[in-house]
Amino acid sequence: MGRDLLLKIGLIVAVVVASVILAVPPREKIHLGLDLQGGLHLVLEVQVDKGIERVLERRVDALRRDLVAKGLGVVAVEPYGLQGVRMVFNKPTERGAVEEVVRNQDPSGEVRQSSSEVWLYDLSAAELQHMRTSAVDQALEKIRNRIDAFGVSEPSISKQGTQRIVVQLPGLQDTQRAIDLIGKTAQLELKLVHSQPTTPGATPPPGTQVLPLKKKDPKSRQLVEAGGYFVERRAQVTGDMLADARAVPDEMGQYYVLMRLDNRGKRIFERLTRENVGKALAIVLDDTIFSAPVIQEPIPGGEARITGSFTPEEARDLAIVLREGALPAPVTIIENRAVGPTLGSDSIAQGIRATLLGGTLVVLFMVVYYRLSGLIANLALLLNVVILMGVLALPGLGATLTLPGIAGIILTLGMAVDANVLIFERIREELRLGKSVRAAVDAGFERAFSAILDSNVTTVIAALVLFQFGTGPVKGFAVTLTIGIAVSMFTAIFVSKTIFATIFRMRRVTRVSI
Amino acid sequence: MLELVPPGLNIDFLGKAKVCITISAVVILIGLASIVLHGGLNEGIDFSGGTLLQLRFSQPAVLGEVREALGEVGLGKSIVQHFGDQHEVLIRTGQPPGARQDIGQQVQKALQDRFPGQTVELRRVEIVGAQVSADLRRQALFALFYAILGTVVYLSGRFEAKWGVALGLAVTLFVITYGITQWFPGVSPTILIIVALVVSTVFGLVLDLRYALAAIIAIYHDVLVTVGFLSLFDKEFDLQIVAALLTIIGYSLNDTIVIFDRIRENMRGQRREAFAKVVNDSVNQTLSRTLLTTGHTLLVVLALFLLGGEVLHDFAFALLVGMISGTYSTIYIAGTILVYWQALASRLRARTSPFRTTRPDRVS
Repeated sequence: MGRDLLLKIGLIVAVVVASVILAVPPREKIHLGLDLQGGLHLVLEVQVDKGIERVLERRVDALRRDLVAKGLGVVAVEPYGLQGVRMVFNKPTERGAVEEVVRNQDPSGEVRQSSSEVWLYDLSAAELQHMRTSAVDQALEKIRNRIDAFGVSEPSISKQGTQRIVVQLPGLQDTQRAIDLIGKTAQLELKLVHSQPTTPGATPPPGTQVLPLKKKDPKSRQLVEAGGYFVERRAQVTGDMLADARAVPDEMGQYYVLMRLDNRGKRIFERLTRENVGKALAIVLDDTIFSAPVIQEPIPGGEARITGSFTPEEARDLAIVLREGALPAPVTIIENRAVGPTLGSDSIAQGIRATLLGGTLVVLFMVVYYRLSGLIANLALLLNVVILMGVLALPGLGATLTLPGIAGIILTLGMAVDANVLIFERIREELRLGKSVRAAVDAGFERAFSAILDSNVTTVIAALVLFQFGTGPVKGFAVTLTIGIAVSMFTAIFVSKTIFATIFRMRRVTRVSI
Repeated sequence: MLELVPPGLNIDFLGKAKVCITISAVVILIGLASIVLHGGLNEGIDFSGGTLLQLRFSQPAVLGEVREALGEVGLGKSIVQHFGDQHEVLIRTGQPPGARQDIGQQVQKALQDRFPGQTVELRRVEIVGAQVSADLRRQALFALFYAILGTVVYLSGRFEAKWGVALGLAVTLFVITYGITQWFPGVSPTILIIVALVVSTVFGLVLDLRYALAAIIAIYHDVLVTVGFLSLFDKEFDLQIVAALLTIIGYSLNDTIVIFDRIRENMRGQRREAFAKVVNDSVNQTLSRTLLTTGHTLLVVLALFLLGGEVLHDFAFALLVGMISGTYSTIYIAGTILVYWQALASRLRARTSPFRTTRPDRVS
């Protein structure tokens, strides 16, 4: 046997062996999409504007404090729009004095005068941009930490575009719990209660706001609104002062969340409780009051509890989000796709059945129509599937097999033999013209090549476009179709040609079964 | 030797040109009428946004009762249907109000309470927000746009051996569409697609890229037929269908390329024969491969259609229709357009002599 031919056979064997090693067992080696293994796919949009509002509010507080301390006769300090802070004074004020206070908070801050008593401080475009990106980055980091604490294997959390976060949790069963855990802003605030509204829709007294109180309905186990309170706008203690949060059962077996404050929080909490004995303190999570216990006595230890007849899971999840900290801005879930595990395994079973039927039909047809040559094409087809699996399992590629991906494999079965059909039809034509078997086979492979390449190029153009613009499962279709077609160029042409060459080498062929 | 098509067969495909064009036109018009009567395409939640729930009942589910139970949780307006078999139920409803991400659990609970004797399993929840569906729709249209653009460019280069022209076309289209998106930032991709189609058609007409143009018209034909059938059978239009359309665009071109290649090969040998005869001979000569290659692919798509499960059912349906249409248009339509084009072009040339080329009957 010629050296050339041996080399070719060696290459084919090597590729096939490598593919088998890569892909066996397929259940472990090939990464399945969420539609096949079940799981949760979420797209969150970070409401960066809310995050900026929050930063501005904090800055307003700091500026007000500093301006008052300087005795500049400040009447109002308030955010204006999403771009900066407006400061109103009771008398015309010098630029220098205002600038000094602002620079103290924001070294690059610029002030401008809008009227003699009103000064504006604008956030720079760069800073706004920074706030936006860091809000998204921080939210992503927090969500990652929450999911890690929750315990999900192989989660994937990534940024999409400028303000979206994609979370993929494969194999997850309790999707609702995960959604609650991820989507909660978890902004904890302790606010003093001013009074209870006498009528619904009453205007809150200055410096206060109305917040709803929610209680768990014992029958439906859902949170329902149970009145509300006027509470102080300013929070005394906030979630970022937490050192720890844990879920703890009480004597009745009800779970509550025990929070421990850090040193700063402890001091503030101690002073707050000392100065306000007899008043109610609202425990507010994401602008909803969980409870508003009356302060009985000063609390020096810096421990507070959130009660709300929680189940153990709810208490544990709440403790996680409090411990990991609030998201810098609220997120909204704009896409939520969850597939149960049984649907995934059903889909796999159906995919395998369809693949087997499609494969059998093609293989039978090839043998009946092209006899021995059909057998060669079938061998090439088998290798095509094996190599396709191997490529899918390639560790560096990060390919994912989805249900449409299985459809792509099935389609590949039909398209891969197309190449052989084109070749064999050409060989038949050449034979009809009276050429010798070898000459006809050679000419068949040679002449059919450009048509095969053409037909594959157009399909691959479509598949690549789909890969670029498609999402999720559909992308998997583009992946398997592209790989399958690329591999078919190797198997249907190179492999089957090598088999023909080997047969010609081993014996004198005067007739070809085609 | 088993032969599907005996060699030397000569069917007068072009002779039936008028009938075929009429059939195609009628089928496309019926499809378009169906789309109009349905008030547009029936968009799946990928493109329209909303909520989709799939539940499995341990006993066959009665849709009326499921609907009643849904009414009790305020989802009475949902579309409820069986999915695959009697046990599986698909519920489609609009956007959940506010942050109601637990709609699946609520429905599952309501149905479980309603049918205490059996287990109700929540198998799939898909909630697609308006921002996402708008994005997906945009992406899908862009995908169609780039697929058509890609094939137009490839065909012009490949058939006319005018890669420079193809490149010029690509750049022109890109500049025009880019310009439009810059001037009108919110422009709908549909308009872009139409602009690209018009520009590439004008390009083809002016530069006489007849093979490319004929192939592209065959593609439009297949896409229109498929979309029309989807509308007729009230199938939902979603990302998978877009994937199927792209596959059809890519795949139905294969056979057209094979035939056109053969036409050009035959033109070299038989310069004196009438162009129509050459085209018809070429269709006949390649008929066997056309039927065989499509036949195989149809076999596997049929397998997918029959056993691939409900999720892939519409996808397989679209592929079936598109591939059958693709084969038909390859055999009956693409060559016909070439011949008509040729006749039209020579008539035009006779009238406008300044554009006379040095070789009046050059067709390669």
